[in-house]
Amino acid sequence: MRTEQDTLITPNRLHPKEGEVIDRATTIRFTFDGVEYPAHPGDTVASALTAAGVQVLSRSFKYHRPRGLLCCSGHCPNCLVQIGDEPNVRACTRPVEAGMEVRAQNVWPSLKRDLLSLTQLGSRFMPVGFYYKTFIRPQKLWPLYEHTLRHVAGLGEVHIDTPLGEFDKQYLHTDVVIAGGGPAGISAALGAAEGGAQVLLFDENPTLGGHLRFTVPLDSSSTPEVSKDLPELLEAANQQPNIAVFTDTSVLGWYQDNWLCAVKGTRLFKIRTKSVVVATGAYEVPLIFDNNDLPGVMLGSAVQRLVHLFGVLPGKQVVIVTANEDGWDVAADLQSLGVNVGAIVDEREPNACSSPYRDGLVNAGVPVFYRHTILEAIGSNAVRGAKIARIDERAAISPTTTQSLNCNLIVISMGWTPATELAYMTGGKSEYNEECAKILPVSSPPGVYVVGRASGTHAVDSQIAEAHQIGSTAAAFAGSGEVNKLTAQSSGTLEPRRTSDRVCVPGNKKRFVCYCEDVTDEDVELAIAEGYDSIELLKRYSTISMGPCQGAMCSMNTIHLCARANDWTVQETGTTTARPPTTPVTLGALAGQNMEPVQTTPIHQWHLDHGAAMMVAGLWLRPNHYGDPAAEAMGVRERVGLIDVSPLGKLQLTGPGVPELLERIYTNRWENLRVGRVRYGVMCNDEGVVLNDGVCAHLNDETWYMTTTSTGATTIFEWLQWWLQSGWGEGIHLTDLTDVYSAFNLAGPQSRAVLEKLTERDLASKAFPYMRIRSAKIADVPCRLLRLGFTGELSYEVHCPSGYALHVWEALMEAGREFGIAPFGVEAQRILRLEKAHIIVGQDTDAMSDPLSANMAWAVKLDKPDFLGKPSLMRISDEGLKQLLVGFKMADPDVVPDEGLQIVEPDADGRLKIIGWVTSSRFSPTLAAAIGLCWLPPELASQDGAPFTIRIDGHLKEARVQHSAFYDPDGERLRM
Amino acid sequence: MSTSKTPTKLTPLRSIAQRLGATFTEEQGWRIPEVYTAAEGEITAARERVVLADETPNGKLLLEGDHADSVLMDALDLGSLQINEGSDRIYRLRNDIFFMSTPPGREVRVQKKLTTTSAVSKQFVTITDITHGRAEIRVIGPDSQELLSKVCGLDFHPSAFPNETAKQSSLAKTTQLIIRRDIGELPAFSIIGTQSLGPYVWDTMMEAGREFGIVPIGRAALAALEEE
Amino acid sequence: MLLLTCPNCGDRNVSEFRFGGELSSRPKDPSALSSAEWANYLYMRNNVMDAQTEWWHHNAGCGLWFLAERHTRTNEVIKTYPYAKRNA
Repeated sequence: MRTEQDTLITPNRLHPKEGEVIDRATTIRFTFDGVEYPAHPGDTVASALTAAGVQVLSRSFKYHRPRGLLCCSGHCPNCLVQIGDEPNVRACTRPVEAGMEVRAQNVWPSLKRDLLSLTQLGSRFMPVGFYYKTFIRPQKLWPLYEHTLRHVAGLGEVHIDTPLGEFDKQYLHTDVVIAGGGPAGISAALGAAEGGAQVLLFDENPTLGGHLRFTVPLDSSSTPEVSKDLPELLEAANQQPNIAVFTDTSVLGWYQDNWLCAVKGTRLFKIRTKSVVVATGAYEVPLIFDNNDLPGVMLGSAVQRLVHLFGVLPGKQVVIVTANEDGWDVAADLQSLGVNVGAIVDEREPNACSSPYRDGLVNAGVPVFYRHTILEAIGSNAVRGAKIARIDERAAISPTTTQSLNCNLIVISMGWTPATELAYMTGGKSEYNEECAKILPVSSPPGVYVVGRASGTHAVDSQIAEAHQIGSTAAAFAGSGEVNKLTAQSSGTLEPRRTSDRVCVPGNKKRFVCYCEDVTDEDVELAIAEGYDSIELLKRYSTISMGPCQGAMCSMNTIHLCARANDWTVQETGTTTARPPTTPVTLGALAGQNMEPVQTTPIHQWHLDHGAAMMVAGLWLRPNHYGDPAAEAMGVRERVGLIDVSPLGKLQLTGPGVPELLERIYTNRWENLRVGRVRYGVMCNDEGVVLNDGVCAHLNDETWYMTTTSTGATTIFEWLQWWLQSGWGEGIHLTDLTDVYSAFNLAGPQSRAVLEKLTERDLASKAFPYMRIRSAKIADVPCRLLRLGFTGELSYEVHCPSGYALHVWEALMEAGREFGIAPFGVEAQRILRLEKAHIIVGQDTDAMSDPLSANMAWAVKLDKPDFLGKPSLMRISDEGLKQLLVGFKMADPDVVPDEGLQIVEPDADGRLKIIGWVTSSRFSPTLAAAIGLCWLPPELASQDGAPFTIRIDGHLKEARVQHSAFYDPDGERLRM
Repeated sequence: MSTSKTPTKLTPLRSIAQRLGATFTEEQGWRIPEVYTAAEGEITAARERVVLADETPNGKLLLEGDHADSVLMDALDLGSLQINEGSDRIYRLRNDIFFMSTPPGREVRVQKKLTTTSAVSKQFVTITDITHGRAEIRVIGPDSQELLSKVCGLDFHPSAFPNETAKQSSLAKTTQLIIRRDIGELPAFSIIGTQSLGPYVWDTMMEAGREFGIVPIGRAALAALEEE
Repeated sequence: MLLLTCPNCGDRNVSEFRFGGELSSRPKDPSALSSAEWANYLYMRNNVMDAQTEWWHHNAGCGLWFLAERHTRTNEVIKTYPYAKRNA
């Protein structure tokens, strides 16, 4: 309930009036910096605070100057606040909610007494480019500088313990997108929808209508009243089934082929459309003068928003500074509400003013100062007065005419700049139009149209007529309706000039061009004097337009200042490149719903239930170990173990052309591989670099079954497809069976005994020798068995259809129980293979490793006619190897060097020289030794037992080259 | 040899169903959820909102070859097996690749017939049963288009994606075969992709569908919907 | 986002595809090449600022590798077609 107290503490709330969006019947409460304030549903945080007379909402980025509402439309940085966990919220657009905890940002110790504002006392030592110049040396101190600067110059606070927000994305498809729901946007939507097109209409405000919601349309009667056009437009849009309206939604960017990105709260839209109508309106441009950032200096449209939408008057004594009829509109508007308009300061000649409200205002006794402008906003934390002066015949300020006016609100209404970022992102071109003193879009790519204030048309009637025609053109471009040839013509209405060339009034205090980054006109001049004269360089050096406003408040003024300082025309000066996003967007919205694909095997839940520590391998989750990898490895050596190797790539090759393909893609021989046999092979690219390794089995007549490394499966499949589809595919079909089959490696001296319990197939070595493939029913499931030896023990890879995987796995575990079977993970497998000195592609090899240097010359047949990589390998072979991959054993079994460590050797001067590096290393539980693989110069690597040193934490540790496998060098255990 | 009976097949989504407290039934050797909470509620959710169902048991055959179409034509003409009868469906994914979807269990007979036909015609066509390799998730309900538009960039409007058509695309950053298979007036889509990604795709769609009140449904509710 | 026409699946977002580099083909008889010629095949690319014929793979779709003619400055895709129709 609203209390008498509430009325007392909201002195700026006006009486109820038509068109306002607040629900006065309800009062809710929220806090700002710990103080409770009342608000009505419909209020924004800023409107409620303004109603309560709060003027200072934030402190500026660099100098910590007090800042208050400026644009009140979400386009400037002055009202950024922290709400709960959320930093950098624009208070002027965020609807207030009961119980909201709003805090000021970037202040210490408090918003009212921000000691950091003392930084501006030293501001002459903090010119533009200050950070670049000052904090570059000594580099060592940068972390300290950074910490301090973040504290001083930060915006909101990010709490790392903030719970994850719920963000998501949605794809939309349509014929026509209208960006901007003002009169032009709605009218364009109607034009397009009536042409039969599906239309999406976006507007960043809570309701459609644009400026008609809070301003008096020009060219209407001289009595201010709410627009009659708006209800008609809204009703028509509402009746039109082809229009879908998205309010509170900002279109952030345009990308190639009419792909748009828009954000609504926590949801990001990605939109594909056939045509786009940009109806983004215009920004009101601030004037640069002494203390122009003082709370109480506001844009005319900001005041009108507050008054008409929220029934809030930000000041009772008003001075209006203008150069167009819009300033007079605001004056008339306020006058009609009984506000004391203290003065109208118009830089034009009296005869240049054609406002329909002039006589009324003058007759009511409002003082008018023609050919005057403002010199300074007077006050420390808020406006107390305005210093004005006359402009002489040479357009200079005449100091003798200076006078001060008492006021607590200075309304700036100097002109508009079209909001054309989106139009220019599409590749549209712009030109400076002298007549209206604006940079206007002059062309846009096919299917992109600009209407309304964004195209320079201000009069509402003209906007509506023009936009409707362009809407139907956009529909026709999208394939609905006929193109109206007449639409290229503009409405022809001659509009009064609304924008002043004068953007800056010189003085002797701070005058801000850029509110986001605290850049003054003097900073701009200095930057240009230092040589950053082009507009793009100036932007990067001064950081103007790179803050939260993204140039909405500062771009046009900067261009004018840059033109003046260089003595260029505005056209010559040009504009900066428009890039997304047009308006700030949270990283959460850009990230969207968490979508990181994860692959799991059919045994996944079993692994979890049995205490597996899972690891990420590519997209796969695999058991790294089940508690004790060394014991798992020993279990395989001594008894039997089972590992889930389902992620192995599994490819089926069929057709008469397969043998020739195998010859081409593997470095060894394949044509002689008989049915039932399996062979190991290495694949290289044409540079001779190892891409992948695995085995390939000849299943029957024209069917082969290939396995690849787990993480390389997709890459190799795509790579093989390329060779097949670009000329080598005759008589070959390639099918990915990776997920069709799950695979387990049953390894250890007892593996045959375990498997025999589950199958009728003869597993004796004679019937099923090493490196063979057999089909067999295992636990009643038709499987493929491959007898391989990656672990160095007798072992069978069991490949079974994935739907049966858990059944087969559990049957194997059960059958193995009497033999002491245990599951083993990737870590145990890595130990086991290292004991056999088997390499892992990607671990022991990199993007430069060829198979000859990787010590796999045995798998490379250079006498084959041709294969991928052969010409390169021939040359490598001729030129001699530069490095060789070789096994090593540490002198001290307790010292296991980290993978990646350097192998060093003193040079003639005793300085250490890097001669190699470690790629794999483990403590071998079987041998009780520290072993590994490393790259060494061939002359060293070729001497079995040669000593060398590895640098570990600054100490040199001895290791010796070992040529044979560390365990079972003759491979007897594989053939048991 | 322990027993001689064919074991039950499990889908990649069984652990999720188990966690959600589903009761299971068996269909053509596959264990699938019968009911999650109550069939009536699941039917209502499908009619009014959006639901997910595990249809992994559906048979899936891949036909590859430049002449796969003629083998299919030949097989269709064989009186002993009317492929297009029943609910077998054939989708041409590429000039040289066809995808066949059969009711659970039928894929074995169909594959046999196609293989024989291809051998007789001496056409080089490879027919592979990939049933075990693919998870099949059915999205059913009036909000299914809206839900899919949150995880996939395709236009799901019926004018762009008509009933009984198939498209392969990126869904939740994975490659999926998406087939529109409405149930009467009820929009429905089958999402078919590698089984190892099945749980991830299911969870991602459940999360994206929370705003619509998405629920999983079992065999009982699905059968009831299809009977209507 | 660029829209690319898969000759098989139609217009799709470019994020469904993988770029495969400009069209080049493996020499018919590599053993006949000098080292310079082999290196030229391996490492040298034309890198034109003009229409370029290049490989694309519809990896999130039908798996087709196809050719696209794309202007490297404007990013305009002039046409796409299967490799088999490259000389048509």
